[in-house]
Amino acid sequence: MKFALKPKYFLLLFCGIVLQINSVKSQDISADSLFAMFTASGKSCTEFESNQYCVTMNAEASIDPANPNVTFFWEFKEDTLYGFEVRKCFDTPGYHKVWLNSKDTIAKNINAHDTMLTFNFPPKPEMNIKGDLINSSTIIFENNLYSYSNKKKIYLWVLGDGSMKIGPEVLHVYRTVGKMEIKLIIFNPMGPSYTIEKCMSKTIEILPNR
Amino acid sequence: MTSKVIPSLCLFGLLLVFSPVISQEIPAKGENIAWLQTFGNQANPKFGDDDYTQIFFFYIPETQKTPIYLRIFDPECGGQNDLGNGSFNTTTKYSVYGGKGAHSNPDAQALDPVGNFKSGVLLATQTFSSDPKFDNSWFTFGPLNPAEGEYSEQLKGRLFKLICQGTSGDDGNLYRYYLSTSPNENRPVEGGNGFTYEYSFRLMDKPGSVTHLYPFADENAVAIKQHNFDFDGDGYIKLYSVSKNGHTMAVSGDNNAVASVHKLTEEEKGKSLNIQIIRKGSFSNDMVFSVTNEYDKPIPFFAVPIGGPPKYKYTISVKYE
Repeated sequence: MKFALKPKYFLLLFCGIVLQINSVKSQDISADSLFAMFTASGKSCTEFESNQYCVTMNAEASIDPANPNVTFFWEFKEDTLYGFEVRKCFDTPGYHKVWLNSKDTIAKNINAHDTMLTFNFPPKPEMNIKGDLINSSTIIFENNLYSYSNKKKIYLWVLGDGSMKIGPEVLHVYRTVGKMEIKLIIFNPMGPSYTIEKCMSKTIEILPNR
Repeated sequence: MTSKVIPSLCLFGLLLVFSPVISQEIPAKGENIAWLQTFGNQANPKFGDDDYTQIFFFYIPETQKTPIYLRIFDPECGGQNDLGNGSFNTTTKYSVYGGKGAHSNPDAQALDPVGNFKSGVLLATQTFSSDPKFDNSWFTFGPLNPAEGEYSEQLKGRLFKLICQGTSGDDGNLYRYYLSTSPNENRPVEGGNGFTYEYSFRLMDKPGSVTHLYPFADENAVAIKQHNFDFDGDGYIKLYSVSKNGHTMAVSGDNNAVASVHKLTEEEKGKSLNIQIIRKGSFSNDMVFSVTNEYDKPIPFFAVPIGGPPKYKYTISVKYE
């Protein structure tokens, strides 16, 4: 059976799907629930700050059943790690390369540089706060990681006056003045559960609007 | 020529035309082969040569209009490099062929030098004994007009054939080739290449050394059959490709020939394979290698692999933290 969808209906259908996804996302979990998870972790925000950039690589699916006598080794700029699965942490963000090599344990020959992987780690998380830091004024809260990371991640902003908002970028108007400790907690949805990936905090002072 | 061969030649031609192949030195550096070898026809085959003949083809793209030269390093048998069996008594004859049938004649591509394997037009020939003038130095055939090679419509170029035969004696002649645009130095022919259907060579002497051979599996091949002679059980022979990570191949002993069949996957068709010979010993080891397809049609070895050395395709999962 032939089925042709006219462009305008296709557009409507597409918009409908997007709206549906967004509504599901926003209903997935509340800011209160996310913050409760953070509190339940018993850790402070700084404990989620990492100065390392880590990745785990697994090449077990590459084993050729006709020649199981092969070991893999991963050649980084700084060192070499051995095994089908290795975990590597770098001290700096940005691009890092690794060559995957194999060695036949019987014949002892090495096949080097067959495959190269390049990792791109996002920079250290930072929050950007834009606008006049006065009450009754709209302030924009952004972070620098959204464009680098998986868009499925959830960004919880704890705004210091009891308000919490979800989103990579949020707007907020303070009704009170004084020092506010802002927290950005980034969650990674892992199936039905959420893991806290990163957390950063910053204190700002909201001045009276005169 | 059978219809089964034509598609593979077409693909081979396309690859040659569109690949920046520069494999002028034979053996090429990437093969890690010490020397080409041809013994005198009275030598015992247990030294490593089963037919005292080596046939190489040189591909000249049709864009090459100026003369080319076929250069031979250490063409005589005596003095340095060669393997003497008592006093040197071997003569070696080199003959260059072009014209119709030089390559296309099935006998020219056969593994055994029988029938009309000297097909085509004889352009030049030279016989060497142990003349010290050519010991450890170069002899040059040419100038050869590229138009004198056999034209191949499929390959979009010309082919010359160089036959080396041990016509008398019982010593081992070790030599190398270079396809050049100059009579006096080695200057590559842009887009040129060299290939053979039966490779007679000496392995590197270092234990653990790895020799690389690059047969080209055409797009219709279902399986390959490798044949090796007189490896002396000197290590391992492994097959590598985009989907094979070191399949074991049969290994010959002293003065005997073995073969093993290896099925090809869809991914391997129309690509070069990499046969690695990993040796254990350090003695001088001369051997012969060939590969045929499932129809017993010989498959060419290229000095530099068409499309580059095959890389095994890894499947890697990556998890960022």
